[in-house]
Amino acid sequence: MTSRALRPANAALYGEDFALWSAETVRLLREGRFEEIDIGHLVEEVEGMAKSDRHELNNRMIVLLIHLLKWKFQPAKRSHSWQNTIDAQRVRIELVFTNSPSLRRAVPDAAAEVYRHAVRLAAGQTRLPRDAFPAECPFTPEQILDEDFLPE
Amino acid sequence: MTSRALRPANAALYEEDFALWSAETARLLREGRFEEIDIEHLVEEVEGMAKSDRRELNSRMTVLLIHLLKWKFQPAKRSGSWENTIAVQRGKLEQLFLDSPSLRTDATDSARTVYRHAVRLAGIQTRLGPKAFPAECPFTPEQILNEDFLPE
Repeated sequence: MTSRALRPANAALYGEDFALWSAETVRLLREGRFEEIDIGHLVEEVEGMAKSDRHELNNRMIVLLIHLLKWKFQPAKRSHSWQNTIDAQRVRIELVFTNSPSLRRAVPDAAAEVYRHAVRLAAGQTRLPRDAFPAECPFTPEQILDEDFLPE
Repeated sequence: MTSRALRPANAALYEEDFALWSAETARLLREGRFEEIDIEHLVEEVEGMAKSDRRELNSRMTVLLIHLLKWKFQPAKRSGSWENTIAVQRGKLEQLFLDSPSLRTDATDSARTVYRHAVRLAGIQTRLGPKAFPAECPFTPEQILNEDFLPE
């Protein structure tokens, strides 16, 4: 009972009903009743919004790297479909940057973070052994995003 | 310049860089610096989260109604694929209600709102035309959501 009394009334609502919680939070924000707002969960939600752009960057980066790796290390199977996939991921990544230009700086990190997964998936899709691919990403961040770049 | 001075410093950031805006807003909320927060856009974002759940409710409800209508009015074409679509939409709606039980009350409204679109699309997909279906939704909200219900 004590801990409940210390929390804003709508903190419990967050776990119970997200639609009601957000409607109530909007009302309190509009009325400037900051002391009653469930700041803890509001902070989580606002941080989550930023993370969703970053997740999108990572997801697109994985698919892009898989196809750049396949293009480079399985040249016999190069196809229009692979090139389409590469183009589409670059476009989606540019759209993320339109929303959040600061994420452009996160590209080297994103590529490094997902490269390992991209190698695993590229190996599965090409049926080449994992050690057919370099341990470190062979493309620079500029090459990865350059709409005209396809590896030799 | 005057109007700028009246706005919180990070209101401009919202348009320029969403990732930076949300990081900054989270920081100001955490530090309790409410007078510096871009309340207007924060309200928009929190309302947007609630709206996206409502949009999902409407969009799943549309697909669900289309398939219940097809099941009832084009019985010769009943298939495992239709039944699967019905089950998947109901499952996704239940997940939505888990987060926001209050949306279950909105399901009645939602069914009424989207029924007209569902009829139009069912008319096209079955080639029966919209007049082959009743003017009012022939299913109760309970039937629509009941995982065991398939119309005769």
